[in-house]
Amino acid sequence: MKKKLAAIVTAIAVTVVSLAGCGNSTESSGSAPAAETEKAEGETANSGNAEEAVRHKIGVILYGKDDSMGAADYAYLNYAAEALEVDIQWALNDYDAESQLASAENLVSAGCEGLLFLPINDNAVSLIGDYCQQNEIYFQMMNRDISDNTIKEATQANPYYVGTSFEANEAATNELTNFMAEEGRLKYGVGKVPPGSSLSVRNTAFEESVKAVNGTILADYTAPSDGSTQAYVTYIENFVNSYPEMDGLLLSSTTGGGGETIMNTLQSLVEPGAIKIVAFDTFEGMEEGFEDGWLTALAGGIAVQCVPDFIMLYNAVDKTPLAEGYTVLYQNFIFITNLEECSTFAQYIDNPEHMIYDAETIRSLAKRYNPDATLDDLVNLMESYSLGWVVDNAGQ
Amino acid sequence: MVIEMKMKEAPVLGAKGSKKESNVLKNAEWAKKAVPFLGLLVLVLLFSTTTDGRFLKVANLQNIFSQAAIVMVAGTGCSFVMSHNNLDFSLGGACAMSAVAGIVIGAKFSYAWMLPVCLAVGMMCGLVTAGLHIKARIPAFMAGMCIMFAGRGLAQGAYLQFVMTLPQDYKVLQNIWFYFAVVTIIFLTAYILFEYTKIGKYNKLIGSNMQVAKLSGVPVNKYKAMAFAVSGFTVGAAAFMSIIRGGGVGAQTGTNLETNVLLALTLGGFPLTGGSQAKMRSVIVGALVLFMLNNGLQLWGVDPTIINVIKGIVFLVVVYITIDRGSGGVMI
Repeated sequence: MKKKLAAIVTAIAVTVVSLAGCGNSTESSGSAPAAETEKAEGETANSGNAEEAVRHKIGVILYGKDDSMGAADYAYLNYAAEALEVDIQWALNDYDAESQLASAENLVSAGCEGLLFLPINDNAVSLIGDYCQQNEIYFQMMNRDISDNTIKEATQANPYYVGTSFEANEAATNELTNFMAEEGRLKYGVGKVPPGSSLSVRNTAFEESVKAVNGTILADYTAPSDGSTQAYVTYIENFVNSYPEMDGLLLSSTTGGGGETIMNTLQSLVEPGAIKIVAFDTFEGMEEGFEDGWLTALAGGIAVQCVPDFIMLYNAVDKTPLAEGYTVLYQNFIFITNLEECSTFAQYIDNPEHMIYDAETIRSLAKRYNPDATLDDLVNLMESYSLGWVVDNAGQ
Repeated sequence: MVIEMKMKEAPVLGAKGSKKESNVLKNAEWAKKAVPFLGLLVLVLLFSTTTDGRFLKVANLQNIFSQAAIVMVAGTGCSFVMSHNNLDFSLGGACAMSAVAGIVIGAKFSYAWMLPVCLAVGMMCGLVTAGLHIKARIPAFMAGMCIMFAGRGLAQGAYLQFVMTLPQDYKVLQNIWFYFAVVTIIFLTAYILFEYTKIGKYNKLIGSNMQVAKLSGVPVNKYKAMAFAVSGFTVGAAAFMSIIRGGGVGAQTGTNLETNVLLALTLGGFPLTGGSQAKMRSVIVGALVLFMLNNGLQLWGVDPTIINVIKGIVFLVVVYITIDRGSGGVMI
């Protein structure tokens, strides 16, 4: 017994000594402001000096690439990385904050100089933000705002926080409800996202917008947080059976197969058009949905915002940030209200083969390639985003 | 004395069995025992020499340890259950349940209650599983599954109702030393219990041959229940670590914990049928192999969709090499 215990104690002692070797890694976080100064110096040194600069590596943490949005993000970012001559490393399929943190740790160990991620919740923002600060790594979020005020303040104070982007949710929610009300549909079922979700603003925005059009919310459900779609079948069956007067569904999210499941369930339960849908996100089968009268309007096309996010991060990593401090970017939604728009959307936007921002445009916003690039240029580009702009741009 | 009845698993040789044959079999057994350690060594050498030194950076080794710590802690307790030839599928659900209870009660009263509540709820889950298994005679893996589903449901329901974020004050614990201290304390305590007390010895004896244990006067049910209680306690500790590591509790807290623990124990050479060959070190070796593999593949830049496939293949190879086809268990 003594020998074995002695062996274990020795092993522990060796491990302690090994770990102690890196005991200062946390302390180094205190040097962050200095890194900001270095950033300013590097700005002058690197500007317009593409040939001498090193090839950067950026890590991206995304929930997956199997649905429409994930596939688009994957394609757009790989293309943007190629355009900017950046190595990109992916971490996919993390569905909780702890796994996202583990991916961040592994990506930084793999040599990534910046992290772009779509946080699963506010805790993930806090964890990854702290980790990046400790390791002096720039990080940018995409598609998400921070709900928790404490985490938001801490993140905004983090010198390595480049920024985030998210869609104009409240305006889009009002627009979607108005589309439904214009058809004379005022009795709604509402599909909500979990309250801790960073998209939960859509829940309250739908409640407000329904009041504004003098509508009534008969029932609501909260989307399952485990990614399973089977629960939607039960929700819709309950809606239809319990509220035969319901004539519209206002859905805060239809990603991960939710939209397809809900529409298929409706098709099996009621006559076409008896209950119509307005929803965030686009999904497989939306063409048939508009053609057969199941859909009133969809708000989507926001996957492309990952490209401005990537450009922001790239400039920061390249020590030529487009802005001092953090930046919050807003992404327009594109509304699809009929089959024709749906086809155009499918051809130009919901098509990972078609790049909305071409390589030349992407490079023009990176100071390494265009020293005159500014944040305003990026914002203007984002503001011009619409179905018409995309079609016109594709024709050039 | 029952304790003296060690289940020697030396090969049974015929009357004419030569010393040479005995040595060959002993060597084969030794080789099988060495597989988990060799696997760990191979991974270390492989990733050390192919990642431009990134793998051996202390920060990266800290990351691996931090990522593996929860599995190590949950696995030490689970070893007791596995040693008496049962599988505990309640781990993830019990972890979720403990974490939700800990943070919700902590938020309502005081966060000082978080750890005791996690431990108490974890232990309670273990005892419920034991009760279902022993008193209601439900197979342990099915009883565990009930807890797993209940825990998952509770976590997802709670996520819809509460914002379960760890207060800033507790973030000071988000460092390697905290994980290291918890793993060390839990492992050392469990090691002593496992190797030098009746709880460990009787559970291994039950795993080796339950009839013999019963005939020898071992109160089988009592010691099985104690094994589940120990497992529940360590799951409670893992839940607390999970809250710290995850910055709070989410809908997916505890997901895949049982799978990861089972993988770690198997990769570490823990016999699936329990018994006297069960060794506590398996959980440490196995968890390190599991998370080193994941880390190393990411350092290589392997497509994340392929990583799970590779892990599956490695798992199969290790099981193929180490499985004791005579008893259906994995040799250590």
